[in-house]
Amino acid sequence: MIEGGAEPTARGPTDEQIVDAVQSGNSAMAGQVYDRLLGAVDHALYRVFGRREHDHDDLVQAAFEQIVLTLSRRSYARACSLQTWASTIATHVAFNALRARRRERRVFDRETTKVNEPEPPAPSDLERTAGARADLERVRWLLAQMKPERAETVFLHDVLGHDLAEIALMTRVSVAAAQSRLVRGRRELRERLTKEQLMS
Amino acid sequence: MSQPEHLDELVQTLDELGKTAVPVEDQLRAGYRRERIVRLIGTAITAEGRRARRRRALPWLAAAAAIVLGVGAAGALSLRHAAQSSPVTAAVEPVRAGEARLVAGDVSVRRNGEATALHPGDVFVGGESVSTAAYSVAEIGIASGRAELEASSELELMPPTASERRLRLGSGSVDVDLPRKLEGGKHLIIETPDVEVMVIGTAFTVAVGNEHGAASTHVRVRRGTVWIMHGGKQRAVLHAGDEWTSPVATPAVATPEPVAQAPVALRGVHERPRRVTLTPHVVEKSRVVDKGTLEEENRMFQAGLTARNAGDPSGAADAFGSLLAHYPRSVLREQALAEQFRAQERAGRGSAAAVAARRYLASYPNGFARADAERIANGLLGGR
Repeated sequence: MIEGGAEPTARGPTDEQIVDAVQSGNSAMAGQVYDRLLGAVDHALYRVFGRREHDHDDLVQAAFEQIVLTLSRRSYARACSLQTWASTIATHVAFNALRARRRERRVFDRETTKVNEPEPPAPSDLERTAGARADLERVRWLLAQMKPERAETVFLHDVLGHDLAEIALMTRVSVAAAQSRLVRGRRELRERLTKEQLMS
Repeated sequence: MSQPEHLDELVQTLDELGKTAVPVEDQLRAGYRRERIVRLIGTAITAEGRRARRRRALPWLAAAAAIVLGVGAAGALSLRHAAQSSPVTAAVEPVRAGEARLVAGDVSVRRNGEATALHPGDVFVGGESVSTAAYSVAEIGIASGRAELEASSELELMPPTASERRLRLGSGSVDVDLPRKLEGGKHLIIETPDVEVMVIGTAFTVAVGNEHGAASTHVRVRRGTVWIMHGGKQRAVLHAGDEWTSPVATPAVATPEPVAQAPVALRGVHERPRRVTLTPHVVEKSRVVDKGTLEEENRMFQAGLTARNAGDPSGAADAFGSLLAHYPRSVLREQALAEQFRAQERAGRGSAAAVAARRYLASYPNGFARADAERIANGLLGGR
């Protein structure tokens, strides 16, 4: 069998080597950390917002700051891949940013960039826009209104495709608690969607 | 999913969210971001490593301190008497305006009217003026960020106040990268002869030029937001990708009635009307500036390569130097710096080659041209 790809030594460090380097304060590994995890971080942020926002680079930076902090302080238990860990942290950062935006709507620079903010599509607009796309936007917006732990569990499981055992490890709860959050989260999301439909 | 009655339908919608295609990013923007974040990650890893070592050393330090306290109790009592009889002088740490992180080439600092050479690690308390000669550069650390003063530039660091940090750019160009807002809600302000640029956590370049004898400011934003202020009022809000050139006001005698007119704003800049008149030249200049993108960088880099391949090292060095001066944060920066010091060496410009080589090593200590850069930089040091 002919295997593609580079020689093992040329493939770059393993997750373990990267984590060890970060924990020992080896800053020469910074580029490797970025290149290894950017995809996971970027995709998670994109899926939460549905686009790259004007402050996308700042959110990427915030996610990487959290990642380095958790790796340095040994919060990462090495029970899942680094990419999975990174996407969880990026999701958390993204939902926090969404919630903060809702709170800070009156701030000047938010007003000037309002055109970029994810607004809930008005029900009447739904008839004029592509239905599926509008539904996805509504789901995003409603997730941001839910309890953080429920919204993030639903997102990690149903959007990013992580299994419950992984989510339990990453969010430091039991599998039963993660399952409970998922079930309650889905129910809450469904109720919010139904309620919005009835109001329209 | 007009009526999400069924759970399956909801899960399917969520699954679609996860399948949304993620478009490829603009490579120029991604390159800028990588450079900035990798630097931040490196700093964070070092800082966290230092903290971890301190945490590990803490129990040992506590034990040592207890022993010292026990043994030195008697001595401390006698010293206490001596201390009470002399006036207490508390050392007040001056508030830093910044510190020199990188110095390449001929860079001087003027303090209290006296000019001396600037060295890495020098601390600024405010009131200093930093000047760079041709082919020289200085990086000044400001809180979590930095200001890179390009060649042939002059920057004055004003004493920090409770509400702001202020840099006054007299001439040349400064590239600012401030990843986080300053502590305590302070603003960082870059003052030029005609406007003030207020930093809102961002990265951008400010350059001061000269139009018909009047100072003109050009601002280019790579990330975040900056405000352009004039006379204490906000004149423009620039976001990532925006460029702005200050209009040149004609002399008062030529315009007895000020004309309210929109200033020169490019690519989505939010402007408020201001009472200035614009010369056609400024408008034309702004249009030219707007073309400055990756395409233009590639063109300038290609011009350098063409000159190099044609056996014109001086022309090549100038072309790469021009690229670096116009686009100090270009994604081609590493290659351009390497080509620049190699071309300068071939052209017989020994000191300029060494400065460029040192600049390369400061930015890319493990870069692909490290060996050449070290050879050229050390060659000059040995010759001094």
